[in-house]
Amino acid sequence: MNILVLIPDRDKAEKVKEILERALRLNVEFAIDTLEANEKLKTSKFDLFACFGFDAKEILGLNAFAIQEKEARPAILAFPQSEEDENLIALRLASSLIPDESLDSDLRKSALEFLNENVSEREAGAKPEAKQRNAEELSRLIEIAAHEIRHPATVFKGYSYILREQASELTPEIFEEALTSIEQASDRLAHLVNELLDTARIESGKADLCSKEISPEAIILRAVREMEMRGYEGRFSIEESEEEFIIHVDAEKIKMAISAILDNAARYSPPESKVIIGYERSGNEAIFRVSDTGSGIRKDEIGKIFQPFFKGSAAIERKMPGLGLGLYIAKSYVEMHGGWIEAKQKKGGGTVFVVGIPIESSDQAIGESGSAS
Amino acid sequence: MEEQKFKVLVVDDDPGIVKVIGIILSTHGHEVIKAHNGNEGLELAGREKPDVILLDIMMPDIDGYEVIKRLKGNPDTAQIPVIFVTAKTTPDAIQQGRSLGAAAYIIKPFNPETLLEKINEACKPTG
Repeated sequence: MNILVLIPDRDKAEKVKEILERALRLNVEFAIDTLEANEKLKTSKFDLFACFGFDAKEILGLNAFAIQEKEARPAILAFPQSEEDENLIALRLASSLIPDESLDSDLRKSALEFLNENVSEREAGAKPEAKQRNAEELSRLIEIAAHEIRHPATVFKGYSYILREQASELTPEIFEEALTSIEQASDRLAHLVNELLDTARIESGKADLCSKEISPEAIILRAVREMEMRGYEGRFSIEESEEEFIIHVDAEKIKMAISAILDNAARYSPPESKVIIGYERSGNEAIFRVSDTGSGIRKDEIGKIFQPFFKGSAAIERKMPGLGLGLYIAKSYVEMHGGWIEAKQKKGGGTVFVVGIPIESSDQAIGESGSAS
Repeated sequence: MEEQKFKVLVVDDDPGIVKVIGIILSTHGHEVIKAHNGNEGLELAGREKPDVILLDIMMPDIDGYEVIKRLKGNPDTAQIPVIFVTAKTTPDAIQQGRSLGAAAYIIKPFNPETLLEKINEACKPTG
């Protein structure tokens, strides 16, 4: 039996290997290799896959998520999101081995034992520090959400008082200002609620995709229009593409992903500067590129910006509103389509976000039923 | 309730909050001075000598705790009552605000009538 595990983090990969070797106690050949979430399989890793009986040519050029989709067998497991600790990864591997009828029964039995022991241990609260950590994390997230909701609530409370108690003293200009402020606060609240709901659906695996044919340009125009309605008029410049083509995606979700990136770019670049967005075709992928001239992302934060509820030092220093969910949702929706997203520092300042969406395989990722989760 | 008119400095980096507080206070006859960050707040406090300061805590340049320390450390502004108006709700935050000499601590979203009452209380002549 050969098992290949792909994890971005080398140290974690070694720990998973140790746990599995100890737990399964059988003649299992393990290979653990690093593969970043957005990294595509290169020819240098061909031999490794070939040793484990996989047709490497079939998965050349795919990233870890797409490999996981394509190689739907327990012997190859990719963990593109490495937030899970090594014990949890080992548990997931063990649980995926058990139902595979083609496997040696001893291996399945061993995996089951390992799983039972660990699940019981976890349920018995053998790791109170983990529970404590989860409780603290939950508390932190609730505090962030509550803090964000206080702003629109303050605006509603204030203006409802003004309109009830002081309406006769208001000039038409102040009255108009009040209505505009209430409208903006409502939009902000609706945006917060939508982000929380989207995150809940993503986390529970219940986010469905509804595919349709659409041009990348149409998606960009919708995203830009949405951002202009949020108060970023004139901030975006759309580059013309040399090639027109159609992709098959959930247009709403990809628009949301692009909007989140545009929102991020517009917030962190000077108000008078332009955020440039363009697209092109590269092989079997539609590539979207968003470039800004902002302060850039700190090196130590660039790996964290797609994590849920992450707020970078620039956001904290400038007290930027928001939950820190936009880029996380963007990444999740892009990856649901079998795509990838990355952020890079630009020479001379600013950031460029690049999104790749498969053109041909987007149908497969979404599935014939029109939904995937 | 007898309505006295005061000069109120509002220090908050959120323009939407500054605006709504400004309308509430000005329609009650108070004079409103607006500052959008801690440094501007300190400068206006020294120059305008307001009767009371409404101060946010989380601000991008210097936070509200630092602003009140500097206000209390400056003989020209030490006597001006400061009311925190903030989204920070933890007991520690409230305790810290009080220990730094704040006259009151108001949590967003606040009841405008409470805000008006606290301003009146803070500006009452003592002794």
